[in-house]
Amino acid sequence: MSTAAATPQTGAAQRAPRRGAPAWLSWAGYATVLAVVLALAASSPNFLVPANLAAVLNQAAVYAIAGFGLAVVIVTGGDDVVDGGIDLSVGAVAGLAGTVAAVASQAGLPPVASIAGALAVAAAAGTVNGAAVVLGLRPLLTTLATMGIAGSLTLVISNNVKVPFTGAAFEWLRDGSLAGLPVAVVVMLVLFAVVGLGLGSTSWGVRSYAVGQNPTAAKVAGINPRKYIFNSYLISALLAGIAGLLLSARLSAAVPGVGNQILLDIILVAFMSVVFSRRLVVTITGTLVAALFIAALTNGFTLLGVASQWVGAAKGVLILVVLAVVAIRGRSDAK
Amino acid sequence: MKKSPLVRPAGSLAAKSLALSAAAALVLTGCSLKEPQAASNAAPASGAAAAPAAAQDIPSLEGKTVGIAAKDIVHDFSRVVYDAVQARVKELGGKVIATQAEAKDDKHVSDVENLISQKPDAIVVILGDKTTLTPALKKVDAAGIPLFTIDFQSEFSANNVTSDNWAIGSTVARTLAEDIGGKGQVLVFNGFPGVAPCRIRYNELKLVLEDYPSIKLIQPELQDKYEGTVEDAKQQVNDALRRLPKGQIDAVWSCWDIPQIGAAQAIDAAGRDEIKVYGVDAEPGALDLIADPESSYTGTVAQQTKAMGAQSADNVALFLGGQQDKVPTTSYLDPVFINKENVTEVRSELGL
Amino acid sequence: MTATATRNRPGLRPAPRAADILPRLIAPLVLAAIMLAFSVLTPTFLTGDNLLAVLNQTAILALVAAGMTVVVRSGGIDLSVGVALDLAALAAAAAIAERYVPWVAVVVGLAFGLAVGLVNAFLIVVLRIPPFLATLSVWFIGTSVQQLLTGGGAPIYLVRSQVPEGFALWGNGYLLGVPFPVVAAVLVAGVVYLALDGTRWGRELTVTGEQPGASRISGKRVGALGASAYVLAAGVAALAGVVLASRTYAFIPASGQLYVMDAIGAVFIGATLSKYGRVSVPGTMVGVLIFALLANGMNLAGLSFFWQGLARGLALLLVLLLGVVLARQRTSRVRPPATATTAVPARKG
Repeated sequence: MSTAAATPQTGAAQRAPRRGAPAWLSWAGYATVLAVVLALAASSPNFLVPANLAAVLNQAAVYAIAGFGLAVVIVTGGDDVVDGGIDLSVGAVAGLAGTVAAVASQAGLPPVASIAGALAVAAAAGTVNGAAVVLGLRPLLTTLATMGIAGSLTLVISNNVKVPFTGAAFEWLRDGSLAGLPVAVVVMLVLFAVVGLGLGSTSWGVRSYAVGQNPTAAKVAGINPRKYIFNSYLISALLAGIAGLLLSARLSAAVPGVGNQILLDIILVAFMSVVFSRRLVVTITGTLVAALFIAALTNGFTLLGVASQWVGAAKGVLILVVLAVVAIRGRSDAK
Repeated sequence: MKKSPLVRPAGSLAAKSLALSAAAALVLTGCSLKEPQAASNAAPASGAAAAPAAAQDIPSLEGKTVGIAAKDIVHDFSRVVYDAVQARVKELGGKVIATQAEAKDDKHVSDVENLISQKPDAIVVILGDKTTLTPALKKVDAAGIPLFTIDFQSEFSANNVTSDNWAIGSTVARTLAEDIGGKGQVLVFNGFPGVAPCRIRYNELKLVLEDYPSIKLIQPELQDKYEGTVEDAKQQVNDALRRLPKGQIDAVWSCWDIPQIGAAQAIDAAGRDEIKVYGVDAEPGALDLIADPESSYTGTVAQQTKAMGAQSADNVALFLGGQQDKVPTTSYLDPVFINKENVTEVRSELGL
Repeated sequence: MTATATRNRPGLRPAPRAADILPRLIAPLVLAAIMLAFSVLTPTFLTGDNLLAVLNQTAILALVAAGMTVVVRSGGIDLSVGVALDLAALAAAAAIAERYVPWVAVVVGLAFGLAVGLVNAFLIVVLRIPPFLATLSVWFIGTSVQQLLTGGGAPIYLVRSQVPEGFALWGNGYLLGVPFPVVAAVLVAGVVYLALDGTRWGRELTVTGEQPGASRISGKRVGALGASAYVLAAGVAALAGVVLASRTYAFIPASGQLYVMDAIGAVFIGATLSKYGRVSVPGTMVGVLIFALLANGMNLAGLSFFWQGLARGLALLLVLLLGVVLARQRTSRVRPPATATTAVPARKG
């Protein structure tokens, strides 16, 4: 690799040796998941019951959907921690979108209009993020700022009280089912297909990865990085908005401050997807698996009667174990 | 990080950590490092929950499983109740599956759903919000699992164990009003207007103050948070103290104790002894301050948390033992109002 | 300037031009504007009393942010500083509650915090796990550890009258009329500043952060340097934890979480002070003060917390946007030579 191309991309330079890791390593993450799931199934007869599995899928939906958006941002912006793509506003935007829809429908607007309004507000947040980042602001700081703004607006329009999310349409979002699956799960799977295929098999996806991994080279190849970066924040905000609607439907109310409650888990899910990728990059499939895995873990611990204080530790340790295994094996193979 | 050429600052760090481990070893071996005073009653609060067993003829829970879903265990009320329910269920021979949602609304719903999958004989939900939980509680009902709640009422609940939050709210409010002589300005923390007990207590405050037109709530109201509450509240009150000099704040009100610990610390440090501080929950840290004659912390309310937890477990046992008629819709436990006069006495009485 | 360009941070510093300086003054100017605005809006704002109190309130964030600066300079990030802070506060408060003498409590507190740093260093340097993921995992684990050590998250309260003076003064004492936390923050910030910008360690750390490929040439030291950054950050956060435990006479679980995002924000506001977007302690302190004075001013002006997040977010966006816009005007006139990126910085001195 030429120095000129490599220096701007610190992350790529550090990971370079691991890219040559053998194929079986990509299964380390999946193997861990499988082992944990089998262990849970073996220890609790209630785990592999359809109703329970549906509950797990349902619980994962919000985090997976918002996680897809964050994953697109990380892919397009690069995963450099300092300058790379990150969207800290996903939680707050989800909360804001849910609140907008709830307030709008309380004000008598029909569900379609409420939802459109919510998504428009989310898109506006995404536009601000995207425009600022394209202008050259650091994503971390930009989205930290919009996180504060969206959180504040949520307080203002909800008056800091829970706004009930009522009406047949929203109840259907919560309790309805399509093809035997809860609506939220169907939405999650559809979005997974759209975003996953988009990022995995279209030229948009290939170019997004290219922009994220080496914007200079992408530019040389005739790709306009700004367009892709801007779009990634817009997509992230829209997906966060959808997640926020589903969350409010699930809680049957827009809860002020809920954005802060979910942010960390969304970040975890998107970054954890790295574990399920051979090249150790963020992927949509990995995000989905990570979201399902974390929901299954929490659910399984409850079924096993493990105190919930251990769930956080288990999440952290499992990620570290997988990453460590992949990293160490990758290094020794590269030598 | 090995012994490889460490640069100077890193080297000094390594030396420091050596010293630290030496100190750690000392800590493990000797008590000569302890303060010389006799260990008095200053032991840290522990969550142990030996329920005062009023058990005459409570049926056994042998072979029964009870699921518990607590909203959070970050403050003393919910944590002690959480521990007490578990202790009492185990004492009665039952098995416990306990979850707590770290104050996250979504996780609380998930916890309840996950408990349903486990098919326990009963589910106890500690603190929560009717709006957000009702769909999940409906599922509990649909699954035919008896539901018990603590500190919030639900149409699906067989029994709710609670303090009378209306009484707590109005008594604290009128005590405050009387203490400050029926006129003045009150600084209010109102960060959780959506949490049922807080909403009730705040509304009671407003109701009482309707009859005290000379008492004003200071605008803007302050925000209490779940994370870092004490320090955060302290800073907000510090700023408020400078904004409103002597004579412009007469009392500080909050629906729980933790922000008030920070508030009282700020007020005490500023020497504004004309201000009185009121909270609810009888957090040990608040009781320490109330017991301190120098502190502005004036009053709090003890809920009988251990008894509440035990009562809920007893109700579960009665219900599952076929004695549904002995389980009331709501079991009220009397709150105990604590002030500077009775704090020591109440503490020893209730074991707080 | 796109994100690409901000990444190209040559280690060599040419002499600054007057036109180059303006965009770098945005953050200090915004700080000055905040001070001016609030001193007009509220009479209490610009008083010695209030400003000293603001410094006192901000000391903990300043400490955490100073530590964060080191990690970011080394090319990483530390999301687990809140955990280091909390565990230090937990250990110190528990030691005092168990009636250990003050210095033991302080040392035990620092040791707990440093342990978090050592774990991070191990994960990131030895196992080569990306810093964001490693410290995020440590955040989750640390939160669990706190809950497990405290019976599910019970606060530890210390009775004010029984806390030995030697511990109480860490958060409440005064040195020549200046609150001790402020003294600690100033000292630590000063030491970190000198270490980063005045020692070989600091220069090498900067190079590893900005040109990891190039500095690999110098071999294993890269690992030791990276490790030292995480341990130092955790150590400083641990000191903040001890100060917090002393100041609040308590350990309240998950208090450290509050500082993580603000610290990161402050560090990157500080980066706008540098021509190369390089983070530095003085810059970080400007960021910390912007956050602190804004919060204090809004409280004094009686602005409801409903609007405070909005004001903060807008102020932040404003600083950054102005910086970028002005920097653009500059780059359209003076373009730095592209070859500068490939230069391996010489070791000065």
